Amino acid sequence: MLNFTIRRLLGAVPVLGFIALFVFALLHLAPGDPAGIIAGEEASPEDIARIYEALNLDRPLPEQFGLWLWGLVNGDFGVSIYTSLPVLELVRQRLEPTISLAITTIIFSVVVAIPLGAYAAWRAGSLGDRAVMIFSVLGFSVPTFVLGYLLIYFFAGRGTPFPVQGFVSIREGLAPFLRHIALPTFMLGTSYMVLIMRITRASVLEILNEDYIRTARAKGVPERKILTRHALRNAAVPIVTVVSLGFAFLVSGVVITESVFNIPGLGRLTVEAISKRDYPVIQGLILLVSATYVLINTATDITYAFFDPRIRY
Amino acid sequence: MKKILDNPSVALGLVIVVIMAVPALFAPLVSSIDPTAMAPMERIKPPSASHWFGTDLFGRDVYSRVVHGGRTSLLVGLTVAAISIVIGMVIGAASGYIRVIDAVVMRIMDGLMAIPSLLLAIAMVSVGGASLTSVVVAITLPEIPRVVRLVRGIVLTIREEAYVEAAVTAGTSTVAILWRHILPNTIAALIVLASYIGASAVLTEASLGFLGAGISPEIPSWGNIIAEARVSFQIAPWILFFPSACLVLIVLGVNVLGDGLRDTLDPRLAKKM
Repeated sequence: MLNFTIRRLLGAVPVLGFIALFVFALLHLAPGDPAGIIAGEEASPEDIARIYEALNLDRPLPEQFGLWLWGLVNGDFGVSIYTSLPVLELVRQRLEPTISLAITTIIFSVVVAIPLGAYAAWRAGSLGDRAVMIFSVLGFSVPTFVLGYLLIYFFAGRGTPFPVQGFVSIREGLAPFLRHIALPTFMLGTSYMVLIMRITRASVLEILNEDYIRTARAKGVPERKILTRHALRNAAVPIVTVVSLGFAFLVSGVVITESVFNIPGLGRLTVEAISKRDYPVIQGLILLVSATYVLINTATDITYAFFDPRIRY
Repeated sequence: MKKILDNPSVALGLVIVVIMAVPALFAPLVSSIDPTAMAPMERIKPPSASHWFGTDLFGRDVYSRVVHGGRTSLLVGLTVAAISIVIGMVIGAASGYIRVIDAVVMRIMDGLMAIPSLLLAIAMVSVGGASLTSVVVAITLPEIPRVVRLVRGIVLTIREEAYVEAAVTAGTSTVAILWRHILPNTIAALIVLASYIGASAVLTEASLGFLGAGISPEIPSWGNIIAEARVSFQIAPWILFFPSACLVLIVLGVNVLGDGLRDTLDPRLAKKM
Protein backbone atom coordinates (compact mmCIF):
# COMPACT_ATOMS: atom_id res chain seq x y z
CA MET A 1 0.00 0.00 0.00
CA LEU A 2 2.79 2.43 0.94
CA ASN A 3 4.65 1.41 -2.18
CA PHE A 4 1.58 2.11 -4.31
CA THR A 5 0.99 5.48 -2.65
CA ILE A 6 4.55 6.58 -3.31
CA ARG A 7 4.38 5.36 -6.90
CA ARG A 8 1.17 7.29 -7.56
CA LEU A 9 2.56 10.46 -5.96
CA LEU A 10 5.75 10.21 -8.02
CA GLY A 11 3.62 9.64 -11.11
CA ALA A 12 2.00 13.04 -10.58
CA VAL A 13 5.38 14.82 -10.79
CA PRO A 14 5.92 14.62 -14.59
CA VAL A 15 2.32 15.71 -15.14
CA LEU A 16 2.85 18.75 -12.92
CA GLY A 17 6.15 19.40 -14.73
CA PHE A 18 4.41 19.39 -18.09
CA ILE A 19 1.75 21.80 -16.82
CA ALA A 20 4.46 24.16 -15.56
CA LEU A 21 6.27 23.99 -18.90
CA PHE A 22 3.05 24.66 -20.79
CA VAL A 23 2.09 27.63 -18.62
CA PHE A 24 5.60 29.02 -18.98
CA ALA A 25 5.55 28.54 -22.75
CA LEU A 26 2.16 30.26 -23.04
CA LEU A 27 3.67 33.71 -22.60
CA HIS A 28 6.64 32.99 -24.84
CA LEU A 29 4.62 31.43 -27.65
CA ALA A 30 2.78 34.69 -28.16
CA PRO A 31 3.92 36.72 -31.15
CA GLY A 32 6.03 39.71 -30.14
CA ASP A 33 7.96 40.65 -27.05
CA PRO A 34 6.48 39.25 -23.79
CA ALA A 35 7.19 42.48 -21.94
CA GLY A 36 5.49 44.44 -24.73
CA ILE A 37 2.42 42.16 -24.56
CA ILE A 38 2.16 42.61 -20.82
CA ALA A 39 2.76 46.35 -20.78
CA GLY A 40 0.32 47.10 -23.58
CA GLU A 41 0.61 49.61 -26.41
CA GLU A 42 1.06 52.79 -24.40
CA ALA A 43 3.90 51.52 -22.22
CA SER A 44 6.94 53.68 -21.54
CA PRO A 45 10.44 52.21 -21.88
CA GLU A 46 10.66 52.29 -18.06
CA ASP A 47 7.57 50.07 -17.74
CA ILE A 48 9.10 47.60 -20.18
CA ALA A 49 12.40 47.63 -18.29
CA ARG A 50 10.57 47.02 -15.00
CA ILE A 51 8.75 44.02 -16.46
CA TYR A 52 12.00 42.66 -17.93
CA GLU A 53 13.53 42.89 -14.49
CA ALA A 54 10.55 41.29 -12.71
CA LEU A 55 10.31 38.30 -15.06
CA ASN A 56 14.05 37.82 -15.71
CA LEU A 57 13.32 38.24 -19.41
CA ASP A 58 16.90 39.28 -20.20
CA ARG A 59 18.21 35.81 -19.44
CA PRO A 60 18.27 32.74 -21.72
CA LEU A 61 14.98 30.82 -21.85
CA PRO A 62 16.07 27.63 -20.00
CA GLU A 63 17.49 29.79 -17.22
CA GLN A 64 14.25 31.80 -17.05
CA PHE A 65 12.29 28.58 -16.77
CA GLY A 66 14.65 27.26 -14.09
CA LEU A 67 14.41 30.43 -12.02
CA TRP A 68 10.65 30.53 -12.38
CA LEU A 69 10.28 26.87 -11.43
CA TRP A 70 12.58 27.34 -8.43
CA GLY A 71 10.40 30.23 -7.34
CA LEU A 72 7.26 28.06 -7.65
CA VAL A 73 8.80 25.30 -5.56
CA ASN A 74 9.56 27.90 -2.89
CA GLY A 75 6.02 29.22 -2.98
CA ASP A 76 6.87 32.30 -5.03
CA PHE A 77 4.25 32.60 -7.77
CA GLY A 78 5.40 36.03 -8.86
CA VAL A 79 3.90 39.47 -8.41
CA SER A 80 0.82 40.87 -10.11
CA ILE A 81 1.81 43.56 -12.61
CA TYR A 82 -1.23 45.73 -11.92
CA THR A 83 -1.68 45.53 -8.18
CA SER A 84 1.98 44.81 -7.29
CA LEU A 85 0.67 42.23 -4.80
CA PRO A 86 2.08 38.69 -4.70
CA VAL A 87 -0.10 36.33 -6.75
CA LEU A 88 -0.58 34.02 -3.77
CA GLU A 89 -1.86 36.93 -1.67
CA LEU A 90 -4.40 37.86 -4.38
CA VAL A 91 -5.52 34.24 -4.53
CA ARG A 92 -5.86 34.07 -0.75
CA GLN A 93 -8.09 37.15 -0.71
CA ARG A 94 -10.41 35.63 -3.32
CA LEU A 95 -10.41 32.04 -2.10
CA GLU A 96 -13.36 32.03 0.29
CA PRO A 97 -16.26 32.77 -2.09
CA THR A 98 -15.02 30.22 -4.61
CA ILE A 99 -14.48 27.47 -2.05
CA SER A 100 -17.91 28.17 -0.52
CA LEU A 101 -19.57 28.00 -3.92
CA ALA A 102 -17.71 24.80 -4.83
CA ILE A 103 -18.74 23.09 -1.59
CA THR A 104 -22.41 24.07 -1.76
CA THR A 105 -22.48 23.02 -5.42
CA ILE A 106 -20.95 19.60 -4.76
CA ILE A 107 -23.34 18.93 -1.85
CA PHE A 108 -26.37 20.10 -3.82
CA SER A 109 -25.47 18.09 -6.95
CA VAL A 110 -24.57 14.88 -5.15
CA VAL A 111 -27.67 14.96 -2.94
CA VAL A 112 -29.98 15.42 -5.93
CA ALA A 113 -28.11 13.39 -8.56
CA ILE A 114 -27.43 10.09 -6.82
CA PRO A 115 -31.01 9.31 -5.70
CA LEU A 116 -32.42 10.40 -9.08
CA GLY A 117 -29.79 8.44 -11.04
CA ALA A 118 -30.30 5.33 -8.90
CA TYR A 119 -34.07 5.61 -9.21
CA ALA A 120 -33.84 5.96 -13.00
CA ALA A 121 -31.70 2.83 -13.18
CA TRP A 122 -33.99 0.88 -10.86
CA ARG A 123 -37.04 1.78 -12.95
CA ALA A 124 -35.23 1.79 -16.29
CA GLY A 125 -37.60 2.47 -19.19
CA SER A 126 -40.35 3.86 -16.97
CA LEU A 127 -41.85 7.31 -17.25
CA GLY A 128 -39.72 8.48 -14.30
CA ASP A 129 -36.57 7.23 -16.01
CA ARG A 130 -37.54 8.99 -19.23
CA ALA A 131 -38.07 12.23 -17.29
CA VAL A 132 -34.66 11.92 -15.65
CA MET A 133 -33.00 11.25 -19.00
CA ILE A 134 -34.72 14.19 -20.70
CA PHE A 135 -33.70 16.42 -17.81
CA SER A 136 -30.13 15.17 -18.15
CA VAL A 137 -29.93 15.98 -21.86
CA LEU A 138 -31.46 19.41 -21.20
CA GLY A 139 -29.04 20.10 -18.36
CA PHE A 140 -26.18 19.22 -20.66
CA SER A 141 -27.31 21.49 -23.44
CA VAL A 142 -28.31 24.65 -21.58
CA PRO A 143 -25.17 26.74 -21.13
CA THR A 144 -24.59 27.79 -17.53
CA PHE A 145 -24.79 31.48 -18.34
CA VAL A 146 -28.16 31.10 -20.05
CA LEU A 147 -29.50 29.37 -16.96
CA GLY A 148 -27.96 32.11 -14.82
CA TYR A 149 -29.66 34.88 -16.77
CA LEU A 150 -32.97 33.04 -16.66
CA LEU A 151 -32.63 32.92 -12.87
CA ILE A 152 -31.76 36.61 -12.72
CA TYR A 153 -34.69 37.41 -14.99
CA PHE A 154 -37.14 35.58 -12.74
CA PHE A 155 -35.68 36.56 -9.38
CA ALA A 156 -34.30 40.10 -9.76
CA GLY A 157 -36.36 42.91 -8.26
CA ARG A 158 -39.40 40.78 -7.43
CA GLY A 159 -38.98 40.84 -3.68
CA THR A 160 -37.80 37.24 -3.49
CA PRO A 161 -35.49 36.27 -0.64
CA PHE A 162 -32.71 35.37 -3.11
CA PRO A 163 -30.47 38.29 -4.13
CA VAL A 164 -28.96 38.02 -7.62
CA GLN A 165 -25.75 39.87 -6.77
CA GLY A 166 -22.74 39.40 -4.58
CA PHE A 167 -21.56 37.10 -1.84
CA VAL A 168 -21.94 37.02 1.95
CA SER A 169 -19.45 35.11 4.07
CA ILE A 170 -20.75 32.25 6.21
CA ARG A 171 -19.24 34.05 9.22
CA GLU A 172 -21.99 36.66 8.88
CA GLY A 173 -24.64 34.06 9.55
CA LEU A 174 -25.89 30.91 7.87
CA ALA A 175 -29.19 32.34 6.61
CA PRO A 176 -27.79 35.32 4.65
CA PHE A 177 -24.97 33.11 3.35
CA LEU A 178 -27.42 30.52 2.02
CA ARG A 179 -29.75 33.13 0.56
CA HIS A 180 -26.92 34.69 -1.45
CA ILE A 181 -25.38 31.46 -2.60
CA ALA A 182 -28.63 29.65 -3.50
CA LEU A 183 -29.02 30.88 -7.09
CA PRO A 184 -25.31 30.59 -8.04
CA THR A 185 -25.31 27.07 -6.59
CA PHE A 186 -28.37 26.13 -8.59
CA MET A 187 -26.85 27.58 -11.76
CA LEU A 188 -23.48 25.89 -11.36
CA GLY A 189 -24.92 22.70 -9.88
CA THR A 190 -27.31 21.85 -12.69
CA SER A 191 -24.73 20.78 -15.26
CA TYR A 192 -22.55 19.07 -12.63
CA MET A 193 -25.59 17.26 -11.28
CA VAL A 194 -26.48 15.96 -14.74
CA LEU A 195 -22.96 14.57 -15.15
CA ILE A 196 -23.19 12.66 -11.86
CA MET A 197 -26.73 11.52 -12.59
CA ARG A 198 -25.80 9.98 -15.94
CA ILE A 199 -22.90 8.01 -14.48
CA THR A 200 -24.96 6.89 -11.48
CA ARG A 201 -27.71 5.62 -13.76
CA ALA A 202 -25.31 3.82 -16.10
CA SER A 203 -23.32 2.18 -13.27
CA VAL A 204 -26.31 1.13 -11.16
CA LEU A 205 -28.05 -0.23 -14.27
CA GLU A 206 -25.06 -2.42 -15.02
CA ILE A 207 -24.84 -3.73 -11.47
CA LEU A 208 -28.57 -4.48 -11.26
CA ASN A 209 -27.98 -7.08 -13.99
CA GLU A 210 -25.37 -8.94 -11.93
CA ASP A 211 -26.01 -12.42 -10.57
CA TYR A 212 -25.70 -11.41 -6.93
CA ILE A 213 -28.58 -8.96 -7.33
CA ARG A 214 -30.74 -11.80 -8.62
CA THR A 215 -29.62 -13.90 -5.68
CA ALA A 216 -30.49 -11.11 -3.27
CA ARG A 217 -33.95 -10.73 -4.85
CA ALA A 218 -34.47 -14.49 -4.77
CA LYS A 219 -33.76 -14.69 -1.08
CA GLY A 220 -36.25 -11.88 -0.47
CA VAL A 221 -34.09 -8.85 0.32
CA PRO A 222 -36.31 -5.75 0.13
CA GLU A 223 -35.86 -3.71 -3.07
CA ARG A 224 -34.84 -0.59 -1.19
CA LYS A 225 -32.06 -2.49 0.53
CA ILE A 226 -30.91 -4.05 -2.75
CA LEU A 227 -30.61 -0.59 -4.23
CA THR A 228 -28.70 0.99 -1.35
CA ARG A 229 -26.72 -1.93 0.07
CA HIS A 230 -25.87 -3.88 -3.07
CA ALA A 231 -26.19 -1.68 -6.11
CA LEU A 232 -25.14 1.80 -4.99
CA ARG A 233 -22.26 0.56 -2.89
CA ASN A 234 -20.78 -1.34 -5.82
CA ALA A 235 -21.39 1.53 -8.19
CA ALA A 236 -19.45 3.86 -5.89
CA VAL A 237 -16.14 3.77 -7.76
CA PRO A 238 -17.32 5.26 -11.08
CA ILE A 239 -19.51 7.76 -9.20
CA VAL A 240 -16.66 8.97 -7.01
CA THR A 241 -14.46 9.17 -10.12
CA VAL A 242 -16.89 11.42 -11.93
CA VAL A 243 -17.35 13.61 -8.86
CA SER A 244 -13.59 14.11 -8.62
CA LEU A 245 -13.00 14.38 -12.38
CA GLY A 246 -15.82 16.88 -12.47
CA PHE A 247 -13.57 19.28 -10.60
CA ALA A 248 -12.13 20.60 -13.89
CA PHE A 249 -15.66 21.01 -15.16
CA LEU A 250 -16.61 22.84 -11.97
CA VAL A 251 -13.73 25.29 -12.37
CA SER A 252 -14.85 26.36 -15.84
CA GLY A 253 -18.37 26.79 -14.50
CA VAL A 254 -17.15 28.82 -11.51
CA VAL A 255 -15.54 31.38 -13.82
CA ILE A 256 -18.87 31.97 -15.58
CA THR A 257 -21.06 31.77 -12.48
CA GLU A 258 -19.00 34.33 -10.58
CA SER A 259 -19.12 36.58 -13.57
CA VAL A 260 -22.94 36.35 -13.85
CA PHE A 261 -23.66 36.82 -10.13
CA ASN A 262 -20.85 39.28 -9.39
CA ILE A 263 -19.13 37.07 -6.84
CA PRO A 264 -15.63 38.31 -5.96
CA GLY A 265 -13.90 34.93 -6.15
CA LEU A 266 -11.12 33.27 -8.12
CA GLY A 267 -13.22 33.11 -11.29
CA ARG A 268 -13.66 36.87 -11.36
CA LEU A 269 -9.95 37.25 -10.56
CA THR A 270 -9.18 35.14 -13.64
CA VAL A 271 -11.41 37.20 -15.92
CA GLU A 272 -9.98 40.45 -14.55
CA ALA A 273 -6.41 39.20 -14.93
CA ILE A 274 -7.11 38.19 -18.52
CA SER A 275 -8.72 41.47 -19.50
CA LYS A 276 -5.73 43.35 -18.02
CA ARG A 277 -3.24 40.83 -19.43
CA ASP A 278 -1.78 40.37 -15.97
CA TYR A 279 0.25 37.31 -16.98
CA PRO A 280 1.82 36.38 -13.65
CA VAL A 281 -1.70 36.17 -12.18
CA ILE A 282 -3.04 34.14 -15.15
CA GLN A 283 -0.08 31.76 -14.96
CA GLY A 284 -0.36 31.41 -11.20
CA LEU A 285 -4.10 30.68 -11.35
CA ILE A 286 -3.81 28.07 -14.11
CA LEU A 287 -0.95 26.38 -12.24
CA LEU A 288 -2.73 26.33 -8.89
CA VAL A 289 -6.02 25.08 -10.32
CA SER A 290 -4.37 22.37 -12.44
CA ALA A 291 -2.12 21.24 -9.61
CA THR A 292 -5.17 20.96 -7.33
CA TYR A 293 -6.88 18.86 -9.98
CA VAL A 294 -3.90 16.51 -10.33
CA LEU A 295 -3.66 16.15 -6.54
CA ILE A 296 -7.39 15.45 -6.17
CA ASN A 297 -7.14 12.74 -8.83
CA THR A 298 -4.08 11.19 -7.26
CA ALA A 299 -5.77 11.22 -3.86
CA THR A 300 -8.88 9.59 -5.38
CA ASP A 301 -6.74 6.82 -6.91
CA ILE A 302 -5.00 6.18 -3.61
CA THR A 303 -8.33 6.08 -1.77
CA TYR A 304 -9.63 3.42 -4.18
CA ALA A 305 -6.61 1.26 -3.57
CA PHE A 306 -7.15 1.72 0.14
CA PHE A 307 -10.77 0.55 0.01
CA ASP A 308 -10.38 -2.03 -2.74
CA PRO A 309 -7.23 -4.18 -2.50
CA ARG A 310 -7.75 -5.44 -6.05
CA ILE A 311 -6.85 -2.02 -7.47
CA ARG A 312 -3.10 -1.85 -7.96
CA TYR A 313 -2.25 -0.51 -11.37
CA MET B 1 -28.36 3.36 -42.49
CA LYS B 2 -32.09 2.68 -42.32
CA LYS B 3 -31.59 1.09 -38.93
CA ILE B 4 -29.72 4.13 -37.66
CA LEU B 5 -32.45 6.52 -38.82
CA ASP B 6 -35.10 4.36 -37.14
CA ASN B 7 -33.71 5.31 -33.75
CA PRO B 8 -36.02 8.07 -32.42
CA SER B 9 -33.12 10.02 -30.87
CA VAL B 10 -31.19 10.06 -34.13
CA ALA B 11 -34.23 11.19 -36.08
CA LEU B 12 -35.19 13.90 -33.56
CA GLY B 13 -31.60 15.14 -33.23
CA LEU B 14 -31.16 15.25 -36.98
CA VAL B 15 -34.39 17.21 -37.47
CA ILE B 16 -33.38 19.80 -34.85
CA VAL B 17 -29.87 20.15 -36.28
CA VAL B 18 -31.14 20.57 -39.84
CA ILE B 19 -33.76 23.14 -38.83
CA MET B 20 -31.11 25.14 -36.99
CA ALA B 21 -28.31 24.72 -39.52
CA VAL B 22 -30.16 25.48 -42.77
CA PRO B 23 -30.88 29.18 -42.02
CA ALA B 24 -27.30 29.63 -40.85
CA LEU B 25 -25.99 27.97 -44.00
CA PHE B 26 -28.05 30.20 -46.27
CA ALA B 27 -27.76 33.28 -44.05
CA PRO B 28 -27.55 35.89 -46.86
CA LEU B 29 -30.70 34.45 -48.50
CA VAL B 30 -32.73 34.09 -45.32
CA SER B 31 -32.00 37.57 -44.10
CA SER B 32 -31.70 40.51 -46.44
CA ILE B 33 -30.66 42.92 -43.69
CA ASP B 34 -26.93 43.50 -43.20
CA PRO B 35 -26.08 42.13 -39.73
CA THR B 36 -23.60 44.94 -39.15
CA ALA B 37 -25.74 47.83 -40.43
CA MET B 38 -26.42 50.26 -37.59
CA ALA B 39 -29.65 52.26 -37.46
CA PRO B 40 -29.59 54.81 -34.60
CA MET B 41 -33.33 55.54 -34.94
CA GLU B 42 -34.18 51.87 -34.52
CA ARG B 43 -32.24 51.24 -31.30
CA ILE B 44 -33.48 48.69 -28.74
CA LYS B 45 -36.78 47.83 -30.41
CA PRO B 46 -38.59 44.71 -29.17
CA PRO B 47 -39.43 41.98 -31.70
CA SER B 48 -41.83 43.16 -34.42
CA ALA B 49 -42.86 42.33 -37.99
CA SER B 50 -39.94 44.25 -39.50
CA HIS B 51 -37.40 43.02 -36.94
CA TRP B 52 -38.40 39.49 -35.96
CA PHE B 53 -35.96 39.28 -33.07
CA GLY B 54 -35.94 43.04 -32.31
CA THR B 55 -32.92 45.32 -32.58
CA ASP B 56 -29.85 45.78 -30.38
CA LEU B 57 -28.12 48.80 -28.79
CA PHE B 58 -26.84 50.00 -32.17
CA GLY B 59 -30.11 49.39 -33.98
CA ARG B 60 -28.77 46.29 -35.72
CA ASP B 61 -31.27 43.58 -36.64
CA VAL B 62 -30.94 40.78 -34.08
CA TYR B 63 -32.50 38.15 -36.36
CA SER B 64 -29.96 38.86 -39.04
CA ARG B 65 -27.12 38.81 -36.50
CA VAL B 66 -28.29 35.53 -35.03
CA VAL B 67 -28.55 33.89 -38.46
CA HIS B 68 -25.13 35.15 -39.53
CA GLY B 69 -23.68 34.42 -36.11
CA GLY B 70 -24.92 30.85 -36.48
CA ARG B 71 -22.57 30.42 -39.43
CA THR B 72 -19.59 31.37 -37.31
CA SER B 73 -20.68 29.21 -34.37
CA LEU B 74 -21.39 26.16 -36.54
CA LEU B 75 -18.13 26.68 -38.41
CA VAL B 76 -16.30 26.67 -35.05
CA GLY B 77 -18.14 23.50 -33.96
CA LEU B 78 -17.40 21.61 -37.18
CA THR B 79 -13.78 22.71 -37.45
CA VAL B 80 -12.99 21.91 -33.84
CA ALA B 81 -14.62 18.47 -34.12
CA ALA B 82 -12.80 17.64 -37.36
CA ILE B 83 -9.35 18.84 -36.30
CA SER B 84 -9.43 17.31 -32.83
CA ILE B 85 -10.64 13.94 -34.17
CA VAL B 86 -7.92 13.78 -36.84
CA ILE B 87 -5.07 14.87 -34.57
CA GLY B 88 -6.35 12.79 -31.65
CA MET B 89 -6.72 9.73 -33.86
CA VAL B 90 -3.13 9.93 -35.12
CA ILE B 91 -1.68 10.51 -31.63
CA GLY B 92 -3.94 7.92 -30.02
CA ALA B 93 -3.16 5.24 -32.60
CA ALA B 94 0.57 5.88 -32.37
CA SER B 95 0.47 5.92 -28.59
CA GLY B 96 -1.58 2.74 -28.34
CA TYR B 97 0.46 0.79 -30.86
CA ILE B 98 4.01 2.01 -30.34
CA ARG B 99 5.00 1.21 -26.76
CA VAL B 100 8.04 3.54 -26.60
CA ILE B 101 6.15 6.79 -26.98
CA ASP B 102 3.10 5.73 -24.99
CA ALA B 103 4.29 6.78 -21.52
CA VAL B 104 5.47 10.22 -22.64
CA VAL B 105 2.41 10.97 -24.76
CA MET B 106 0.00 9.90 -22.03
CA ARG B 107 1.73 12.08 -19.39
CA ILE B 108 1.41 15.05 -21.75
CA MET B 109 -2.27 14.23 -22.29
CA ASP B 110 -2.80 13.93 -18.52
CA GLY B 111 -1.20 17.35 -18.15
CA LEU B 112 -3.42 18.88 -20.83
CA MET B 113 -6.50 17.32 -19.31
CA ALA B 114 -5.63 18.69 -15.89
CA ILE B 115 -5.88 22.27 -17.13
CA PRO B 116 -9.57 23.21 -17.07
CA SER B 117 -10.54 23.66 -20.73
CA LEU B 118 -12.18 27.06 -20.37
CA LEU B 119 -9.17 28.48 -18.48
CA LEU B 120 -6.82 27.06 -21.10
CA ALA B 121 -8.92 28.52 -23.89
CA ILE B 122 -9.18 32.02 -22.40
CA ALA B 123 -5.48 32.06 -21.64
CA MET B 124 -4.69 31.07 -25.24
CA VAL B 125 -7.06 33.62 -26.71
CA SER B 126 -5.57 36.30 -24.49
CA VAL B 127 -2.14 35.44 -25.88
CA GLY B 128 -3.10 34.74 -29.50
CA GLY B 129 -5.60 37.55 -30.04
CA ALA B 130 -9.34 37.50 -30.69
CA SER B 131 -9.22 35.99 -34.19
CA LEU B 132 -11.35 33.09 -35.42
CA THR B 133 -8.22 30.96 -35.83
CA SER B 134 -6.97 31.45 -32.29
CA VAL B 135 -10.44 30.72 -30.87
CA VAL B 136 -10.59 27.47 -32.87
CA VAL B 137 -7.08 26.47 -31.73
CA ALA B 138 -7.88 27.37 -28.14
CA ILE B 139 -11.03 25.22 -28.13
CA THR B 140 -9.43 22.34 -30.04
CA LEU B 141 -6.39 21.82 -27.84
CA PRO B 142 -8.24 20.77 -24.65
CA GLU B 143 -10.48 18.39 -26.69
CA ILE B 144 -7.57 16.40 -28.16
CA PRO B 145 -6.78 14.33 -25.02
CA ARG B 146 -10.36 12.99 -24.95
CA VAL B 147 -9.93 11.64 -28.48
CA VAL B 148 -6.45 10.30 -27.76
CA ARG B 149 -7.61 8.38 -24.70
CA LEU B 150 -10.58 6.84 -26.50
CA VAL B 151 -8.58 5.80 -29.58
CA ARG B 152 -5.68 4.51 -27.50
CA GLY B 153 -8.04 2.40 -25.41
CA ILE B 154 -9.56 0.76 -28.48
CA VAL B 155 -6.16 0.26 -30.13
CA LEU B 156 -4.80 -1.43 -27.00
CA THR B 157 -7.52 -4.11 -27.17
CA ILE B 158 -7.50 -4.54 -30.95
CA ARG B 159 -3.72 -4.97 -31.19
CA GLU B 160 -4.02 -8.25 -29.29
CA GLU B 161 -6.46 -9.69 -31.87
CA ALA B 162 -5.36 -12.67 -33.92
CA TYR B 163 -5.78 -10.89 -37.25
CA VAL B 164 -3.37 -8.16 -36.19
CA GLU B 165 -0.84 -10.78 -35.11
CA ALA B 166 -1.30 -12.49 -38.47
CA ALA B 167 -0.65 -9.22 -40.28
CA VAL B 168 2.49 -8.63 -38.23
CA THR B 169 3.73 -12.14 -39.05
CA ALA B 170 3.01 -11.57 -42.72
CA GLY B 171 5.33 -8.58 -42.60
CA THR B 172 2.73 -5.82 -43.08
CA SER B 173 4.16 -2.41 -42.25
CA THR B 174 3.09 -0.71 -39.00
CA VAL B 175 1.36 2.14 -40.83
CA ALA B 176 -0.61 -0.32 -42.96
CA ILE B 177 -1.65 -2.34 -39.91
CA LEU B 178 -2.86 0.77 -38.14
CA TRP B 179 -4.66 2.13 -41.17
CA ARG B 180 -6.21 -1.05 -42.51
CA HIS B 181 -6.74 -3.25 -39.47
CA ILE B 182 -6.91 -1.08 -36.37
CA LEU B 183 -8.33 2.36 -37.17
CA PRO B 184 -11.54 1.08 -38.83
CA ASN B 185 -12.50 -0.26 -35.40
CA THR B 186 -12.44 3.22 -33.93
CA ILE B 187 -14.80 4.84 -36.43
CA ALA B 188 -18.09 4.19 -34.62
CA ALA B 189 -16.74 5.61 -31.37
CA LEU B 190 -15.19 8.59 -33.14
CA ILE B 191 -18.42 9.54 -34.92
CA VAL B 192 -20.18 9.66 -31.56
CA LEU B 193 -17.35 11.55 -29.88
CA ALA B 194 -17.21 14.03 -32.79
CA SER B 195 -20.84 14.96 -32.19
CA TYR B 196 -20.19 15.58 -28.48
CA ILE B 197 -17.06 17.61 -29.25
CA GLY B 198 -18.92 19.69 -31.84
CA ALA B 199 -21.67 20.48 -29.33
CA SER B 200 -19.23 21.36 -26.61
CA ALA B 201 -17.18 23.54 -29.00
CA VAL B 202 -20.26 25.61 -29.86
CA LEU B 203 -20.90 26.02 -26.13
CA THR B 204 -17.28 26.93 -25.38
CA GLU B 205 -17.25 29.52 -28.18
CA ALA B 206 -20.32 31.09 -26.60
CA SER B 207 -18.79 30.94 -23.11
CA LEU B 208 -15.58 32.57 -24.35
CA GLY B 209 -17.60 35.30 -26.01
CA PHE B 210 -19.62 35.71 -22.85
CA LEU B 211 -16.42 36.27 -20.83
CA GLY B 212 -15.14 38.76 -23.41
CA ALA B 213 -12.41 36.45 -24.66
CA GLY B 214 -14.04 35.34 -27.91
CA ILE B 215 -14.09 36.27 -31.57
CA SER B 216 -13.91 40.05 -32.09
CA PRO B 217 -17.33 41.70 -32.63
CA GLU B 218 -16.91 42.57 -36.35
CA ILE B 219 -17.75 38.95 -37.20
CA PRO B 220 -21.07 38.15 -35.47
CA SER B 221 -21.05 34.86 -33.57
CA TRP B 222 -23.52 33.65 -30.96
CA GLY B 223 -20.78 34.13 -28.39
CA ASN B 224 -20.19 37.79 -29.06
CA ILE B 225 -23.88 38.61 -29.62
CA ILE B 226 -24.54 37.16 -26.18
CA ALA B 227 -21.55 39.04 -24.74
CA GLU B 228 -22.88 42.38 -26.04
CA ALA B 229 -26.41 41.56 -24.91
CA ARG B 230 -25.28 41.18 -21.28
CA VAL B 231 -25.00 44.92 -20.80
CA SER B 232 -28.56 45.65 -21.85
CA PHE B 233 -30.06 42.47 -20.43
CA GLN B 234 -32.40 44.21 -17.98
CA ILE B 235 -33.89 46.61 -20.55
CA ALA B 236 -33.69 44.42 -23.68
CA PRO B 237 -33.77 40.74 -22.72
CA TRP B 238 -34.64 39.66 -26.30
CA ILE B 239 -31.11 40.39 -27.54
CA LEU B 240 -29.87 37.76 -25.12
CA PHE B 241 -32.85 35.45 -25.47
CA PHE B 242 -32.77 34.64 -29.20
CA PRO B 243 -29.11 33.70 -29.63
CA SER B 244 -29.26 31.77 -26.34
CA ALA B 245 -32.34 29.85 -27.48
CA CYS B 246 -30.65 28.96 -30.77
CA LEU B 247 -27.55 27.86 -28.87
CA VAL B 248 -29.59 25.64 -26.56
CA LEU B 249 -31.53 24.12 -29.48
CA ILE B 250 -28.54 23.26 -31.64
CA VAL B 251 -26.53 21.86 -28.74
CA LEU B 252 -29.56 19.86 -27.62
CA GLY B 253 -30.04 18.57 -31.17
CA VAL B 254 -26.43 17.48 -31.54
CA ASN B 255 -26.37 15.86 -28.09
CA VAL B 256 -29.60 13.93 -28.75
CA LEU B 257 -28.20 12.88 -32.13
CA GLY B 258 -24.96 11.79 -30.44
CA ASP B 259 -26.80 9.74 -27.80
CA GLY B 260 -28.88 8.08 -30.50
CA LEU B 261 -25.84 7.26 -32.63
CA ARG B 262 -24.11 5.86 -29.59
CA ASP B 263 -27.02 3.58 -28.78
CA THR B 264 -27.34 2.26 -32.33
CA LEU B 265 -23.65 2.07 -33.30
CA ASP B 266 -22.19 0.73 -30.09
CA PRO B 267 -24.16 0.71 -26.81
CA ARG B 268 -21.04 -0.22 -24.82
CA LEU B 269 -19.72 3.31 -25.42
CA ALA B 270 -22.14 4.72 -22.85
CA LYS B 271 -19.66 4.05 -20.09
CA LYS B 272 -16.61 5.38 -21.91
CA MET B 273 -17.81 8.88 -22.70
